[in-house]
Amino acid sequence: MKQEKSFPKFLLPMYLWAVLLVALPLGYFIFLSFLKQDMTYGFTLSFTLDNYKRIFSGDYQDMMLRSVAISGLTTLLCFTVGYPFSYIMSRLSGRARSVVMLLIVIPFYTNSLLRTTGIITLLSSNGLINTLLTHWGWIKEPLSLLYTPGATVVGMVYSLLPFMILPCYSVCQKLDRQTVEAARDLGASRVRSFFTVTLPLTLPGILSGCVLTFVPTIGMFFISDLLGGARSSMLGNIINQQINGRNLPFAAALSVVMLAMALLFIGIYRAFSGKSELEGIA
Amino acid sequence: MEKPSVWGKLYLALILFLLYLPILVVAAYSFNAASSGAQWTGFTLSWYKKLLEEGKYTQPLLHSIELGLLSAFLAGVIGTAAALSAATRAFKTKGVFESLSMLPIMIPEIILGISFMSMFALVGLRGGMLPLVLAHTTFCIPYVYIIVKGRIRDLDPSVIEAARTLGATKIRAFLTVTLPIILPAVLSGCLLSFAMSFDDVIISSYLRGPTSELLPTKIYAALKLGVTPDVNALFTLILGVMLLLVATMAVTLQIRKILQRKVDAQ
Amino acid sequence: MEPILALRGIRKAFSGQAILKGIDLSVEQGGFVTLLGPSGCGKTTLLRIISGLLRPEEGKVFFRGEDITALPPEKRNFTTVFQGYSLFPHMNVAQNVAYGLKLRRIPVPERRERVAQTLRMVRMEGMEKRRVTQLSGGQQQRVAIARAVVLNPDVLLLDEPLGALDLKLRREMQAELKELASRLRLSCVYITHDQEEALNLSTKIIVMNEGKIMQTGTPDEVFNHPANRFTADFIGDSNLYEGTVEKTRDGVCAVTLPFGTVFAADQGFAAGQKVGVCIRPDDVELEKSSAAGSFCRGVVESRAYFGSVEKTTVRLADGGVIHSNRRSAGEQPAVGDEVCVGVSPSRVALFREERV
Repeated sequence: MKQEKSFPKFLLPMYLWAVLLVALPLGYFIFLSFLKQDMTYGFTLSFTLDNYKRIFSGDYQDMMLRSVAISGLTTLLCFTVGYPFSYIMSRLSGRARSVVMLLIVIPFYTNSLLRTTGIITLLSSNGLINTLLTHWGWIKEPLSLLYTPGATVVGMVYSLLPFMILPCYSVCQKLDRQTVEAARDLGASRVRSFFTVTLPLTLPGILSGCVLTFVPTIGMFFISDLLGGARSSMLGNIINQQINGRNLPFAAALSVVMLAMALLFIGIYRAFSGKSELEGIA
Repeated sequence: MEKPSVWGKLYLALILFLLYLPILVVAAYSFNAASSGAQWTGFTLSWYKKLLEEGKYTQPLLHSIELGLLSAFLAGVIGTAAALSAATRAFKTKGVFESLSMLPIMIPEIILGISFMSMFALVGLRGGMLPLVLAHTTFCIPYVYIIVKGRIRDLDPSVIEAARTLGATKIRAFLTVTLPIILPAVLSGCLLSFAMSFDDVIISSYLRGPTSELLPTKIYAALKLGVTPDVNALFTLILGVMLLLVATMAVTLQIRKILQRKVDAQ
Repeated sequence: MEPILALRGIRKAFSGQAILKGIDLSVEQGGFVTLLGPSGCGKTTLLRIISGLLRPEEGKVFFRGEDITALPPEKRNFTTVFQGYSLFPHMNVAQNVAYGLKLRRIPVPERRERVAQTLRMVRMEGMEKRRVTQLSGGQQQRVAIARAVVLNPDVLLLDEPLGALDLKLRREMQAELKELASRLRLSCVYITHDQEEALNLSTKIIVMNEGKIMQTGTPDEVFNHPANRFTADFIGDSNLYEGTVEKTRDGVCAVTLPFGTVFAADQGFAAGQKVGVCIRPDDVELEKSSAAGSFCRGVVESRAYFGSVEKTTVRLADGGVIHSNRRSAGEQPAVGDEVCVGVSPSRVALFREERV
């Protein structure tokens, strides 16, 4: 009843911005993905589906699968580590909780390259881990830890763990303790009450956390670049290569595929949680 | 509900330790005398000295700060204005526009980067700070919008009506009631925006020009050639400044809380 | 005397749905007028129109005879106490109360004096520096009242101010509010759906339903002489019947009911007219043997104990029931006993039955 129907003028700047700087660029580059590459002008105005055919031909299949696998594994690991963390954290006393919260949020305000640098320092052949292991005589030759897909996953989990913890914590904290107690009172065991009450009630947060970790990872080229080396290049790296190789239409087509994956993921989240906004990002 | 067990607390501590380990390692090695490798050969401040004397990161740092401040300011104004009117109104196109406005933080950054790059090339916008400011503001607006809208939604609209019936004009009521109440949310939205802008590698790497080299892209280029102690020193300095800011804020808030509690206790 | 506030023909609709369907009312200087009605009857909308927060689609608002319909809220010296208190969360108690004074550019020493004085009046002295978010519901309401009355408003508007408080506190605050209003000679418009509150506080009650005024009158008038079935039903417990006026003689009117004939004071109805009959349970007397004023017989169906009263339900000959809250003079009738039902003619209210 109190909601006014008129179009509010203060929203106008943001909407103009969204049209001019979100819709227009995105539309333009989707358009580009249907054009032919041209060595002199970058592209020519002739319609083609070749770029998409090329993506789904054999050459790029492995890379696509690896990309999705690395992102999926990262998401899974973030969940396995982050959900218990959030759950335990939500039961801490008020003061301890705000301290842990602060500790989780601080990395947001530090540089993501900084963490990646730290991981390089830890994992490289003359890095901390290899040096310590050699020093204690456990290994003779340094292990090759860096420049592996594993290193990429570790780097991504490091960067994205807070994005899983925050939404999960947000739902765990809102969880009405009495519903869990009621389940226990009605005869559910600890494990059963967790799977039948706690987990379904915190699902929106889990899904939101999965979106917030999976979506950035598929395009995050610098972590796989610095930690993964040539053997674990992902979709983002290939796009980057195509840009450097001046094949803008093909890079655009690859990005459209990536965009489709991201939107599909967000769509699944919306369908399951029934919410349009992601849980726990505010 | 039971409190977390000792094992639970240990788990939290372990994860937090692992989360901070790379950061601590970088900070520690910025004081290591060895120029490469993990061998500890002694304490030194020479990397900091080298960093300051060479000054090759000074200009990029200033650019990044300028970019962060501009983007945070623009996003603060646009996002807050939008949140103010969106929170209390419903109209047909709201869902579409809102989804479109939130898209920049929902999709992989690389897509934004490439589409900006090709779009700006089309309209002949190349180099300098303008393309960067436009791009960064685009992904900062959603943060401000979401945070401020959340705060306004919690605000009872009759509080503003109360101000009106007590004699405040619309503008006066906004300045004396609405604004002070949402100000913390606006500031934290701007702070997050600044941090996100300051940290961005992906989008910036498509838009930077020779006159607008930024700190993250410069560091990224250096890291591709390997980790050097002066980069460690640089990170440690940035980290120090950020922690100092967070700590100052936390301490000021705490002091205010303690003072208020004393009054309440009387 | 000219009323301080008058509304003429107020209409308001939200998205095509009529909320107020032509409201006329007036508030006398120093009067305590209560808008009483079920939730959704439009009383809050009406209050918002008086305060200036809403504009009516039709009709006019007059202040001391002057048309103020188009005047924004800040230009009216009316203040409102909201149901949810609506205190400014970023200000302490004193700052909240001083807000309006500051807007009126009252100099600091006077401002401080008036804030202190008003806080003393609502028994909140010594709490000036407290955060309002740390106060109890009752304390918050005191601050909200102080914030509104410190400005010496021409009309004080109160939107269910006690609705969020528990029963005991509500009674206490009612008494304080009544005392405050008469001490400051405030003209008040008060909204409630609680009829006891309305009867206790008001000089005039306006009963509303579905955007229309059902009855306007003093508490005594609306309670003892309901003008229609809605008022009779909404205010107080009642036994309601339909009957026909048989004859009127010597100021007494005989009304035929399905289960007997009841006598009422002459209220100007003609013989043969259909009327509604309202008898309050407090006035229904039950006796084992026939006594003066008894008009029918019935069988006690149930008895319910409520401490100060005992409610008895009697099944009548035609299958209907009548409720009584009175204790009998002699032995209390038990369930299953046959009793005579009586009522004094002066306690029987008749009203025009709108649907025949």
